[in-house]
Amino acid sequence: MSGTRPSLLSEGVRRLGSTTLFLAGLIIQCVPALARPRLVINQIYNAGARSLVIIMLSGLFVGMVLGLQGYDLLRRFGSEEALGTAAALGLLRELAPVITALLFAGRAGTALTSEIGLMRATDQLTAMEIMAVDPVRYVAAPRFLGGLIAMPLLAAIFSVIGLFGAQMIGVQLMGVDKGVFWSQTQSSVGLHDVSEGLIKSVVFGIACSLIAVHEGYNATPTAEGVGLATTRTVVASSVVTLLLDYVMTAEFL
Amino acid sequence: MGAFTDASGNVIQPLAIGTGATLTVPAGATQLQLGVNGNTYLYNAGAFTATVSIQSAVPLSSQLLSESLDDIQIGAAAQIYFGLFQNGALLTDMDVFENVAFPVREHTDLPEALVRLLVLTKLQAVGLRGAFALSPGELSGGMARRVALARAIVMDPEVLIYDEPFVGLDPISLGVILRLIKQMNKVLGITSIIVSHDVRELASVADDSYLLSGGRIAATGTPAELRASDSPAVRQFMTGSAEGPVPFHYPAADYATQLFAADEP
Repeated sequence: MSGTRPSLLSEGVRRLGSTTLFLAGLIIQCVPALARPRLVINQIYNAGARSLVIIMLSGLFVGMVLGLQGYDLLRRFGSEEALGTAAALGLLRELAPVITALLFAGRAGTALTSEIGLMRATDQLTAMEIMAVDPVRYVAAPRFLGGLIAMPLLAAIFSVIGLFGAQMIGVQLMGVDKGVFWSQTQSSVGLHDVSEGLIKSVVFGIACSLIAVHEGYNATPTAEGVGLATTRTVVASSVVTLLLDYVMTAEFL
Repeated sequence: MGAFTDASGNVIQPLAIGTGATLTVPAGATQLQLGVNGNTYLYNAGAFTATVSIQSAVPLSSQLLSESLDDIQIGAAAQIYFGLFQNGALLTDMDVFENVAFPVREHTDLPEALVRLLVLTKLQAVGLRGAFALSPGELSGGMARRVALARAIVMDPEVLIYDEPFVGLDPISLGVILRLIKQMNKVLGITSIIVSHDVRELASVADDSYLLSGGRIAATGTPAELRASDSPAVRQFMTGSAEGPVPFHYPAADYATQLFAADEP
Protein backbone atom coordinates (compact mmCIF):
# COMPACT_ATOMS: atom_id res chain seq x y z
CA MET A 1 0.00 0.00 0.00
CA SER A 2 1.98 2.97 -1.20
CA GLY A 3 -0.88 5.33 -0.47
CA THR A 4 -1.29 6.56 -4.04
CA ARG A 5 -4.74 6.11 -5.51
CA PRO A 6 -4.81 3.59 -8.33
CA SER A 7 -6.01 5.03 -11.61
CA LEU A 8 -9.51 4.23 -12.77
CA LEU A 9 -8.20 2.12 -15.63
CA SER A 10 -5.81 0.02 -13.58
CA GLU A 11 -8.50 -0.45 -10.93
CA GLY A 12 -10.94 -1.59 -13.61
CA VAL A 13 -8.43 -4.03 -15.06
CA ARG A 14 -7.62 -5.32 -11.58
CA ARG A 15 -11.27 -5.96 -10.80
CA LEU A 16 -11.91 -7.65 -14.13
CA GLY A 17 -8.89 -9.87 -13.49
CA SER A 18 -9.89 -10.76 -9.96
CA THR A 19 -13.44 -11.54 -11.09
CA THR A 20 -12.12 -13.79 -13.86
CA LEU A 21 -9.81 -15.65 -11.49
CA PHE A 22 -12.68 -15.98 -9.04
CA LEU A 23 -14.86 -17.43 -11.83
CA ALA A 24 -12.16 -19.99 -12.62
CA GLY A 25 -11.99 -21.05 -8.97
CA LEU A 26 -15.76 -21.09 -8.79
CA ILE A 27 -16.14 -23.35 -11.83
CA ILE A 28 -13.63 -25.81 -10.40
CA GLN A 29 -15.57 -25.89 -7.11
CA CYS A 30 -18.91 -26.34 -8.86
CA VAL A 31 -18.29 -30.06 -9.38
CA PRO A 32 -17.93 -30.92 -5.66
CA ALA A 33 -20.74 -28.47 -4.91
CA LEU A 34 -23.06 -30.41 -7.25
CA ALA A 35 -22.23 -33.52 -5.26
CA ARG A 36 -24.22 -31.93 -2.42
CA PRO A 37 -27.43 -31.06 -4.21
CA ARG A 38 -29.17 -30.02 -0.98
CA LEU A 39 -27.13 -26.79 -0.78
CA VAL A 40 -27.71 -25.98 -4.44
CA ILE A 41 -31.43 -26.69 -4.21
CA ASN A 42 -31.66 -24.36 -1.20
CA GLN A 43 -30.05 -21.62 -3.25
CA ILE A 44 -32.29 -22.23 -6.26
CA TYR A 45 -35.16 -21.77 -3.83
CA ASN A 46 -33.60 -18.59 -2.39
CA ALA A 47 -32.72 -16.97 -5.71
CA GLY A 48 -35.52 -18.45 -7.81
CA ALA A 49 -38.67 -19.29 -5.92
CA ARG A 50 -38.45 -16.22 -3.73
CA SER A 51 -38.13 -13.96 -6.78
CA LEU A 52 -41.22 -15.48 -8.40
CA VAL A 53 -43.74 -12.88 -7.27
CA ILE A 54 -41.76 -9.88 -8.49
CA ILE A 55 -40.93 -11.64 -11.78
CA MET A 56 -44.56 -12.63 -12.42
CA LEU A 57 -45.93 -9.19 -11.55
CA SER A 58 -43.36 -7.45 -13.74
CA GLY A 59 -43.97 -9.92 -16.56
CA LEU A 60 -47.69 -9.29 -16.43
CA PHE A 61 -47.33 -5.52 -16.60
CA VAL A 62 -44.61 -5.55 -19.23
CA GLY A 63 -46.83 -7.82 -21.33
CA MET A 64 -49.84 -5.56 -20.83
CA VAL A 65 -47.88 -2.46 -21.84
CA LEU A 66 -46.55 -4.34 -24.81
CA GLY A 67 -50.14 -5.18 -25.76
CA LEU A 68 -51.23 -1.54 -25.56
CA GLN A 69 -48.22 -0.02 -27.32
CA GLY A 70 -48.00 -2.80 -29.88
CA TYR A 71 -51.67 -2.51 -30.73
CA ASP A 72 -51.43 1.27 -31.12
CA LEU A 73 -48.38 0.98 -33.35
CA LEU A 74 -49.66 -1.88 -35.49
CA ARG A 75 -53.06 -0.29 -36.00
CA ARG A 76 -51.37 2.60 -37.84
CA PHE A 77 -50.23 0.07 -40.42
CA GLY A 78 -53.49 -1.83 -40.33
CA SER A 79 -51.86 -5.00 -39.10
CA GLU A 80 -53.30 -5.47 -35.63
CA GLU A 81 -53.33 -9.24 -36.06
CA ALA A 82 -49.52 -9.24 -35.91
CA LEU A 83 -49.75 -8.24 -32.24
CA GLY A 84 -49.16 -11.80 -31.06
CA THR A 85 -46.01 -12.10 -33.12
CA ALA A 86 -44.66 -8.77 -31.96
CA ALA A 87 -45.33 -9.47 -28.30
CA ALA A 88 -43.99 -13.02 -28.39
CA LEU A 89 -40.79 -12.13 -30.24
CA GLY A 90 -40.16 -9.04 -28.13
CA LEU A 91 -40.66 -10.94 -24.92
CA LEU A 92 -38.82 -14.12 -25.79
CA ARG A 93 -35.80 -12.57 -27.44
CA GLU A 94 -35.30 -9.33 -25.57
CA LEU A 95 -37.54 -8.25 -22.73
CA ALA A 96 -37.79 -11.44 -20.70
CA PRO A 97 -34.05 -12.16 -20.41
CA VAL A 98 -33.04 -8.53 -19.87
CA ILE A 99 -35.73 -7.44 -17.43
CA THR A 100 -35.46 -10.72 -15.53
CA ALA A 101 -31.71 -10.16 -15.20
CA LEU A 102 -32.18 -6.59 -14.00
CA LEU A 103 -34.83 -7.65 -11.47
CA PHE A 104 -32.70 -10.60 -10.43
CA ALA A 105 -29.75 -8.30 -9.75
CA GLY A 106 -31.94 -6.11 -7.57
CA ARG A 107 -33.82 -8.86 -5.76
CA ALA A 108 -31.51 -11.89 -5.52
CA GLY A 109 -28.10 -10.38 -6.33
CA THR A 110 -28.18 -7.88 -3.51
CA ALA A 111 -29.33 -10.56 -1.08
CA LEU A 112 -26.42 -12.80 -2.13
CA THR A 113 -23.86 -10.01 -1.82
CA SER A 114 -24.95 -8.79 1.57
CA GLU A 115 -25.32 -12.32 2.92
CA ILE A 116 -21.82 -13.37 1.88
CA GLY A 117 -20.39 -9.98 2.85
CA LEU A 118 -21.82 -10.31 6.35
CA MET A 119 -20.46 -13.84 6.62
CA ARG A 120 -17.08 -12.36 5.78
CA ALA A 121 -17.54 -9.52 8.28
CA THR A 122 -18.44 -11.90 11.11
CA ASP A 123 -15.45 -14.18 10.45
CA GLN A 124 -17.69 -17.06 9.36
CA LEU A 125 -15.75 -17.53 6.11
CA THR A 126 -12.45 -17.48 7.97
CA ALA A 127 -13.84 -19.97 10.47
CA MET A 128 -14.65 -22.30 7.57
CA GLU A 129 -11.13 -21.93 6.20
CA ILE A 130 -9.77 -22.85 9.61
CA MET A 131 -12.00 -25.91 9.65
CA ALA A 132 -10.48 -26.79 6.27
CA VAL A 133 -13.82 -26.24 4.53
CA ASP A 134 -13.29 -24.19 1.40
CA PRO A 135 -15.79 -21.31 1.58
CA VAL A 136 -15.73 -21.02 -2.20
CA ARG A 137 -17.03 -24.58 -2.37
CA TYR A 138 -19.44 -24.39 0.55
CA VAL A 139 -20.75 -20.82 0.27
CA ALA A 140 -19.94 -19.32 -3.12
CA ALA A 141 -20.38 -22.23 -5.55
CA PRO A 142 -23.89 -23.31 -4.45
CA ARG A 143 -25.10 -19.69 -4.64
CA PHE A 144 -23.54 -19.23 -8.05
CA LEU A 145 -25.14 -22.44 -9.33
CA GLY A 146 -28.46 -21.53 -7.75
CA GLY A 147 -28.57 -18.18 -9.56
CA LEU A 148 -27.36 -19.73 -12.78
CA ILE A 149 -30.12 -22.35 -12.75
CA ALA A 150 -32.84 -20.00 -11.51
CA MET A 151 -32.33 -17.28 -14.13
CA PRO A 152 -33.49 -19.16 -17.30
CA LEU A 153 -36.46 -20.56 -15.40
CA LEU A 154 -37.46 -17.10 -14.23
CA ALA A 155 -37.04 -15.69 -17.74
CA ALA A 156 -39.25 -18.45 -19.14
CA ILE A 157 -41.95 -17.71 -16.58
CA PHE A 158 -41.62 -13.99 -17.39
CA SER A 159 -42.21 -14.73 -21.10
CA VAL A 160 -45.27 -16.87 -20.47
CA ILE A 161 -46.90 -14.40 -18.09
CA GLY A 162 -45.97 -11.49 -20.37
CA LEU A 163 -47.54 -13.13 -23.40
CA PHE A 164 -50.64 -13.80 -21.35
CA GLY A 165 -50.73 -10.11 -20.39
CA ALA A 166 -50.35 -8.99 -24.01
CA GLN A 167 -53.09 -11.38 -25.03
CA MET A 168 -55.33 -10.09 -22.27
CA ILE A 169 -55.01 -6.49 -23.49
CA GLY A 170 -54.95 -7.20 -27.23
CA VAL A 171 -57.76 -9.74 -27.39
CA GLN A 172 -59.94 -8.94 -24.39
CA LEU A 173 -59.64 -5.15 -24.45
CA MET A 174 -58.73 -4.11 -28.00
CA GLY A 175 -60.64 -6.79 -29.81
CA VAL A 176 -57.97 -8.53 -31.85
CA ASP A 177 -59.27 -11.92 -32.92
CA LYS A 178 -58.12 -14.58 -30.47
CA GLY A 179 -57.58 -17.26 -33.10
CA VAL A 180 -55.56 -14.91 -35.30
CA PHE A 181 -53.50 -13.76 -32.32
CA TRP A 182 -52.43 -17.28 -31.38
CA SER A 183 -52.06 -18.71 -34.88
CA GLN A 184 -49.86 -15.76 -35.94
CA THR A 185 -47.78 -16.27 -32.83
CA GLN A 186 -47.49 -19.99 -33.42
CA SER A 187 -46.49 -19.70 -37.05
CA SER A 188 -43.91 -16.94 -36.64
CA VAL A 189 -42.08 -17.92 -33.47
CA GLY A 190 -39.42 -20.54 -34.19
CA LEU A 191 -37.24 -22.63 -31.98
CA HIS A 192 -34.28 -20.33 -32.64
CA ASP A 193 -36.21 -17.44 -31.06
CA VAL A 194 -36.76 -19.49 -27.92
CA SER A 195 -33.15 -20.61 -27.83
CA GLU A 196 -31.89 -17.05 -28.33
CA GLY A 197 -33.75 -15.99 -25.20
CA LEU A 198 -32.57 -19.09 -23.37
CA ILE A 199 -28.92 -18.52 -24.25
CA LYS A 200 -29.19 -14.89 -23.22
CA SER A 201 -30.74 -15.70 -19.88
CA VAL A 202 -28.11 -18.36 -19.15
CA VAL A 203 -25.34 -15.85 -19.92
CA PHE A 204 -27.03 -13.20 -17.78
CA GLY A 205 -27.44 -15.78 -15.03
CA ILE A 206 -23.71 -16.49 -15.08
CA ALA A 207 -22.82 -12.79 -15.13
CA CYS A 208 -25.23 -11.62 -12.43
CA SER A 209 -24.57 -14.52 -10.05
CA LEU A 210 -20.83 -14.19 -10.54
CA ILE A 211 -20.85 -10.47 -9.84
CA ALA A 212 -23.08 -10.86 -6.78
CA VAL A 213 -21.04 -13.69 -5.26
CA HIS A 214 -17.69 -12.08 -6.10
CA GLU A 215 -18.64 -8.70 -4.65
CA GLY A 216 -19.91 -10.32 -1.46
CA TYR A 217 -16.91 -12.58 -1.13
CA ASN A 218 -14.46 -9.71 -1.49
CA ALA A 219 -16.45 -7.09 0.41
CA THR A 220 -14.58 -5.00 2.94
CA PRO A 221 -15.70 -6.55 6.23
CA THR A 222 -17.40 -3.44 7.62
CA ALA A 223 -20.96 -2.14 7.52
CA GLU A 224 -19.90 0.45 4.96
CA GLY A 225 -18.01 -2.10 2.88
CA VAL A 226 -20.97 -4.49 2.66
CA GLY A 227 -23.26 -1.62 1.68
CA LEU A 228 -20.84 -0.51 -1.00
CA ALA A 229 -20.49 -4.05 -2.33
CA THR A 230 -24.28 -4.39 -2.55
CA THR A 231 -24.53 -1.18 -4.54
CA ARG A 232 -21.73 -2.28 -6.83
CA THR A 233 -23.55 -5.57 -7.45
CA VAL A 234 -26.64 -3.79 -8.77
CA VAL A 235 -24.70 -1.27 -10.85
CA ALA A 236 -22.24 -3.76 -12.33
CA SER A 237 -24.92 -6.41 -12.99
CA SER A 238 -27.18 -3.92 -14.78
CA VAL A 239 -24.43 -2.46 -16.96
CA VAL A 240 -22.95 -5.85 -17.80
CA THR A 241 -26.41 -7.25 -18.60
CA LEU A 242 -27.23 -4.46 -21.06
CA LEU A 243 -23.78 -4.57 -22.61
CA LEU A 244 -23.85 -8.34 -23.07
CA ASP A 245 -27.38 -8.04 -24.43
CA TYR A 246 -26.22 -5.73 -27.20
CA VAL A 247 -23.29 -7.96 -28.07
CA MET A 248 -25.41 -11.10 -28.17
CA THR A 249 -28.24 -9.47 -30.13
CA ALA A 250 -25.77 -8.23 -32.74
CA GLU A 251 -24.39 -11.75 -32.94
CA PHE A 252 -27.75 -13.48 -33.28
CA LEU A 253 -29.38 -11.21 -35.86
CA MET B 1 14.57 -17.48 11.27
CA GLY B 2 16.93 -20.02 12.71
CA ALA B 3 16.16 -23.69 12.84
CA PHE B 4 14.99 -25.05 16.18
CA THR B 5 15.46 -28.56 17.41
CA ASP B 6 13.50 -30.47 19.99
CA ALA B 7 14.89 -32.71 22.71
CA SER B 8 15.55 -35.60 20.35
CA GLY B 9 17.30 -33.39 17.82
CA ASN B 10 14.54 -33.17 15.20
CA VAL B 11 14.29 -29.84 13.44
CA ILE B 12 11.10 -28.02 14.27
CA GLN B 13 9.66 -25.64 11.74
CA PRO B 14 9.26 -22.23 13.30
CA LEU B 15 5.86 -20.69 13.63
CA ALA B 16 5.72 -17.37 11.88
CA ILE B 17 3.92 -14.67 13.79
CA GLY B 18 3.27 -11.38 12.11
CA THR B 19 6.27 -9.98 10.35
CA GLY B 20 9.41 -10.79 12.28
CA ALA B 21 8.62 -13.22 15.05
CA THR B 22 8.99 -16.95 15.08
CA LEU B 23 8.33 -19.32 17.89
CA THR B 24 8.28 -23.02 18.37
CA VAL B 25 5.87 -25.26 20.12
CA PRO B 26 7.66 -27.75 22.35
CA ALA B 27 4.97 -30.40 22.04
CA GLY B 28 6.50 -31.34 18.72
CA ALA B 29 3.84 -29.77 16.56
CA THR B 30 5.84 -29.24 13.41
CA GLN B 31 4.73 -26.85 10.68
CA LEU B 32 2.30 -25.11 12.86
CA GLN B 33 0.88 -22.28 10.80
CA LEU B 34 -1.34 -19.37 11.56
CA GLY B 35 -1.78 -19.07 7.84
CA VAL B 36 -5.21 -17.57 7.88
CA ASN B 37 -5.57 -13.82 7.47
CA GLY B 38 -7.95 -13.43 10.34
CA ASN B 39 -5.43 -14.77 12.74
CA THR B 40 -2.32 -12.88 11.78
CA TYR B 41 -3.64 -9.34 11.93
CA LEU B 42 -3.61 -9.50 15.67
CA TYR B 43 0.11 -9.64 15.92
CA ASN B 44 0.99 -6.85 13.58
CA ALA B 45 -0.09 -3.59 15.07
CA GLY B 46 0.58 -1.78 18.29
CA ALA B 47 3.27 -1.94 20.88
CA PHE B 48 2.60 -4.99 22.99
CA THR B 49 -0.11 -6.70 21.06
CA ALA B 50 -0.37 -10.14 22.47
CA THR B 51 1.08 -12.73 24.70
CA VAL B 52 1.28 -16.12 23.06
CA SER B 53 1.29 -18.92 25.54
CA ILE B 54 2.19 -22.47 24.86
CA GLN B 55 0.81 -25.30 26.89
CA SER B 56 2.85 -28.34 26.24
CA ALA B 57 0.65 -31.34 26.31
CA VAL B 58 1.83 -34.91 26.12
CA PRO B 59 4.40 -34.62 23.33
CA LEU B 60 3.10 -36.00 20.08
CA SER B 61 5.33 -38.50 18.44
CA SER B 62 6.97 -36.85 15.50
CA GLN B 63 6.32 -39.95 13.45
CA LEU B 64 2.60 -39.60 13.90
CA LEU B 65 2.77 -36.00 12.83
CA SER B 66 4.83 -36.53 9.74
CA GLU B 67 2.58 -39.40 8.72
CA SER B 68 -0.54 -37.39 9.04
CA LEU B 69 1.02 -34.48 7.22
CA ASP B 70 2.15 -36.69 4.36
CA ASP B 71 -1.00 -38.69 4.00
CA ILE B 72 -3.52 -35.95 4.33
CA GLN B 73 -3.49 -33.00 1.99
CA ILE B 74 -3.20 -29.45 3.29
CA GLY B 75 -6.96 -29.05 3.46
CA ALA B 76 -7.32 -31.82 5.98
CA ALA B 77 -4.73 -30.28 8.28
CA ALA B 78 -7.75 -29.27 10.30
CA GLN B 79 -7.43 -32.59 12.04
CA ILE B 80 -4.34 -31.17 13.64
CA TYR B 81 -5.10 -27.49 14.06
CA PHE B 82 -8.33 -25.92 15.03
CA GLY B 83 -8.77 -22.27 15.81
CA LEU B 84 -11.12 -20.65 18.24
CA PHE B 85 -12.27 -17.14 17.52
CA GLN B 86 -12.84 -14.10 19.63
CA ASN B 87 -16.51 -13.92 18.74
CA GLY B 88 -17.01 -17.63 18.23
CA ALA B 89 -17.69 -17.11 14.50
CA LEU B 90 -20.57 -19.58 14.57
CA LEU B 91 -22.41 -20.09 11.31
CA THR B 92 -25.55 -18.07 11.77
CA ASP B 93 -27.81 -20.04 9.45
CA MET B 94 -27.53 -23.22 11.52
CA ASP B 95 -28.51 -24.11 15.07
CA VAL B 96 -25.99 -25.08 17.75
CA PHE B 97 -26.18 -28.79 16.96
CA GLU B 98 -25.55 -28.26 13.25
CA ASN B 99 -22.70 -25.85 13.99
CA VAL B 100 -20.89 -28.45 16.03
CA ALA B 101 -21.72 -31.15 13.49
CA PHE B 102 -20.47 -29.01 10.59
CA PRO B 103 -16.80 -30.13 10.52
CA VAL B 104 -17.84 -33.78 10.95
CA ARG B 105 -20.33 -33.62 8.11
CA GLU B 106 -17.87 -31.83 5.85
CA HIS B 107 -14.89 -34.09 6.47
CA THR B 108 -16.39 -37.51 7.09
CA ASP B 109 -19.21 -39.75 5.94
CA LEU B 110 -20.14 -40.93 9.40
CA PRO B 111 -23.69 -42.24 9.84
CA GLU B 112 -26.15 -39.80 11.36
CA ALA B 113 -26.39 -41.73 14.64
CA LEU B 114 -22.65 -41.43 15.16
CA VAL B 115 -22.62 -37.72 14.29
CA ARG B 116 -25.34 -37.26 16.89
CA LEU B 117 -23.32 -39.08 19.53
CA LEU B 118 -20.17 -37.10 18.73
CA VAL B 119 -21.92 -33.75 18.83
CA LEU B 120 -23.85 -34.48 22.03
CA THR B 121 -20.75 -35.68 23.87
CA LYS B 122 -18.80 -32.57 22.87
CA LEU B 123 -21.69 -30.32 23.85
CA GLN B 124 -21.89 -32.16 27.17
CA ALA B 125 -18.17 -31.46 27.67
CA VAL B 126 -18.77 -27.72 27.42
CA GLY B 127 -22.00 -27.94 29.42
CA LEU B 128 -24.36 -26.91 26.64
CA ARG B 129 -26.06 -30.17 25.72
CA GLY B 130 -29.37 -28.59 26.67
CA ALA B 131 -28.83 -25.73 24.23
CA PHE B 132 -28.47 -27.88 21.13
CA ALA B 133 -31.55 -26.50 19.41
CA LEU B 134 -30.83 -22.81 19.99
CA SER B 135 -29.69 -20.59 17.15
CA PRO B 136 -26.40 -18.68 17.50
CA GLY B 137 -28.35 -15.43 17.87
CA GLU B 138 -29.92 -16.70 21.09
CA LEU B 139 -26.59 -17.41 22.81
CA SER B 140 -24.71 -15.14 25.17
CA GLY B 141 -21.07 -14.31 24.40
CA GLY B 142 -19.73 -16.93 26.78
CA MET B 143 -22.11 -19.59 25.49
CA ALA B 144 -21.21 -18.82 21.88
CA ARG B 145 -17.56 -19.26 22.72
CA ARG B 146 -18.27 -22.57 24.44
CA VAL B 147 -20.19 -23.78 21.38
CA ALA B 148 -17.23 -22.71 19.24
CA LEU B 149 -14.99 -24.68 21.57
CA ALA B 150 -17.18 -27.75 21.17
CA ARG B 151 -17.01 -27.28 17.40
CA ALA B 152 -13.25 -26.92 17.57
CA ILE B 153 -12.76 -30.20 19.48
CA VAL B 154 -15.35 -32.26 17.64
CA MET B 155 -12.71 -33.53 15.19
CA ASP B 156 -10.32 -34.28 18.07
CA PRO B 157 -7.54 -31.91 17.03
CA GLU B 158 -4.07 -32.26 18.47
CA VAL B 159 -3.35 -28.55 18.60
CA LEU B 160 -5.91 -25.89 19.42
CA ILE B 161 -5.37 -22.19 18.76
CA TYR B 162 -7.36 -19.75 20.86
CA ASP B 163 -7.67 -16.17 19.65
CA GLU B 164 -8.42 -13.90 22.63
CA PRO B 165 -10.64 -16.43 24.42
CA PHE B 166 -11.17 -14.22 27.49
CA VAL B 167 -12.21 -10.94 25.88
CA GLY B 168 -15.54 -9.49 26.95
CA LEU B 169 -16.63 -12.30 29.25
CA ASP B 170 -18.23 -11.94 32.64
CA PRO B 171 -16.22 -13.44 35.54
CA ILE B 172 -18.26 -16.65 35.65
CA SER B 173 -18.03 -17.33 31.91
CA LEU B 174 -14.36 -16.48 32.07
CA GLY B 175 -13.83 -19.01 34.84
CA VAL B 176 -15.74 -21.62 32.83
CA ILE B 177 -13.69 -21.04 29.68
CA LEU B 178 -10.49 -21.09 31.71
CA ARG B 179 -11.42 -24.41 33.28
CA LEU B 180 -12.38 -25.83 29.88
CA ILE B 181 -9.03 -24.84 28.38
CA LYS B 182 -7.26 -26.61 31.25
CA GLN B 183 -9.46 -29.68 30.81
CA MET B 184 -8.85 -29.84 27.08
CA ASN B 185 -5.16 -29.83 27.86
CA LYS B 186 -5.10 -32.30 30.74
CA VAL B 187 -7.86 -34.71 29.75
CA LEU B 188 -7.70 -34.73 25.97
CA GLY B 189 -4.00 -33.90 25.69
CA ILE B 190 -4.60 -31.02 23.31
CA THR B 191 -1.68 -28.65 22.88
CA SER B 192 -3.06 -25.15 23.27
CA ILE B 193 -1.79 -21.93 21.82
CA ILE B 194 -3.52 -18.98 23.43
CA VAL B 195 -3.33 -15.43 22.18
CA SER B 196 -4.46 -13.08 24.91
CA HIS B 197 -3.91 -9.87 26.80
CA ASP B 198 -5.19 -11.25 30.06
CA VAL B 199 -2.01 -11.74 31.97
CA ARG B 200 -3.56 -13.02 35.17
CA GLU B 201 -5.70 -15.66 33.47
CA LEU B 202 -2.81 -16.81 31.35
CA ALA B 203 -0.57 -17.18 34.36
CA SER B 204 -2.90 -19.85 35.71
CA VAL B 205 -2.93 -21.99 32.56
CA ALA B 206 0.26 -21.33 30.64
CA ASP B 207 3.32 -23.52 30.86
CA ASP B 208 5.30 -21.10 28.78
CA SER B 209 4.65 -17.64 27.41
CA TYR B 210 5.93 -15.35 24.72
CA LEU B 211 5.52 -11.62 24.79
CA LEU B 212 5.21 -10.10 21.35
CA SER B 213 6.02 -6.53 20.51
CA GLY B 214 5.93 -4.96 17.11
CA GLY B 215 5.75 -8.38 15.47
CA ARG B 216 8.77 -9.71 17.33
CA ILE B 217 9.18 -11.76 20.47
CA ALA B 218 10.11 -9.37 23.24
CA ALA B 219 10.40 -11.87 26.06
CA THR B 220 9.90 -15.54 26.78
CA GLY B 221 9.58 -17.62 29.90
CA THR B 222 7.01 -18.79 32.40
CA PRO B 223 4.55 -16.09 33.52
CA ALA B 224 6.44 -15.81 36.84
CA GLU B 225 9.72 -15.29 35.02
CA LEU B 226 8.16 -12.61 32.83
CA ARG B 227 6.86 -10.78 35.86
CA ALA B 228 10.33 -10.80 37.34
CA SER B 229 11.85 -9.58 34.09
CA ASP B 230 14.58 -6.96 34.08
CA SER B 231 13.06 -5.14 31.12
CA PRO B 232 10.87 -2.25 32.30
CA ALA B 233 8.64 -2.61 29.21
CA VAL B 234 7.93 -6.27 29.93
CA ARG B 235 7.28 -5.51 33.60
CA GLN B 236 4.93 -2.71 32.59
CA PHE B 237 2.89 -5.09 30.46
CA MET B 238 2.77 -7.83 33.07
CA THR B 239 1.64 -5.48 35.83
CA GLY B 240 -0.62 -3.42 33.59
CA SER B 241 0.90 -0.14 34.72
CA ALA B 242 -0.03 3.04 32.87
CA GLU B 243 3.41 4.54 33.49
CA GLY B 244 6.43 3.09 31.80
CA PRO B 245 8.41 2.94 28.61
CA VAL B 246 5.35 2.11 26.48
CA PRO B 247 3.85 5.56 25.91
CA PHE B 248 0.21 6.45 26.54
CA HIS B 249 0.12 8.86 23.60
CA TYR B 250 -0.02 7.88 19.99
CA PRO B 251 2.88 9.63 18.23
CA ALA B 252 1.75 13.19 17.45
CA ALA B 253 2.94 16.67 16.61
CA ASP B 254 3.79 19.06 19.41
CA TYR B 255 0.68 19.66 21.54
CA ALA B 256 0.85 23.48 21.72
CA THR B 257 1.81 23.86 18.09
CA GLN B 258 -1.15 21.76 16.93
CA LEU B 259 -3.61 23.43 19.31
CA PHE B 260 -2.80 26.93 18.13
CA ALA B 261 -2.25 26.24 14.46
CA ALA B 262 -5.53 27.64 13.18
CA ASP B 263 -5.50 26.25 9.65
CA GLU B 264 -4.44 22.71 10.33
CA PRO B 265 -6.83 20.02 11.51
